[in-house]
Amino acid sequence: MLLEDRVTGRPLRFPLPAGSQPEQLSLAPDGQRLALQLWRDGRQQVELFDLSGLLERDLPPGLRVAGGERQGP
Amino acid sequence: MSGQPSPWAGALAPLGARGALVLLGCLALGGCLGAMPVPQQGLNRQLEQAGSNRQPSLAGRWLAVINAGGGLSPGDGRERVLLLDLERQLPVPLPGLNRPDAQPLSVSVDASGERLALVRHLDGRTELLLYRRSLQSLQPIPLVPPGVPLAVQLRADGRELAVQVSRNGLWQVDLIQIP
Repeated sequence: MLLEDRVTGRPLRFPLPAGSQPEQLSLAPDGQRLALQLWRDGRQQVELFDLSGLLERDLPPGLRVAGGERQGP
Repeated sequence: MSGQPSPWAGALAPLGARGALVLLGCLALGGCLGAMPVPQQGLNRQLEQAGSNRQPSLAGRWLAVINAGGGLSPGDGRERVLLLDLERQLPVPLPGLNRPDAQPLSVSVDASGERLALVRHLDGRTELLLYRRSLQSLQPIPLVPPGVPLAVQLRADGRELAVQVSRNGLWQVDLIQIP
């Protein structure tokens, strides 16, 4: 399993849970969470992973980033 | 194991997190770099208890999956769409979406949890639908030219979807604007 952050160019590899075969994935639009569909113990399971701090946040346009400059006076 | 292809990793990545490209592959476990993704143990335990789950779709605080063996009739093997509020760690009702005689094939949720796109098989036909949660409405989305949908992904703002369609023996991806 490999994630690549196109903003930083930093690859992120991590081992899958033991005995699991990856089938599908869904990356949250803001890049902060990943859902993996795994085949394990004879059935399909979905597991969630927290990616906070690992990928550059990809916020919808117009949202202020925490820590950014204050608007107005 | 499902033989269904995973079409999204490449072609539809622009509709997911724009800053990240995700690749699935068989990689050695060594060579891990620095910080690691953290499994969300509580949520994962809940998902496992709900039965078998597939076709995950994450957006905002929402996770949509196709679930079998959970809900009120555990173990009946019938599949249904399940929408989980990950902050409250609870499923939310989807009145009018699931039918006992329909087979869901693919589901996708938008970041507000308001819209779900669904591909399902019903009465010998495979159809693409849009569900609006606040209205409890299920609206068919026509494919032009006609084709057989297989998998769908909704954009985070719910205003566009990408659907994988079979036409004349070819796989194609249609982008459809949603008002």
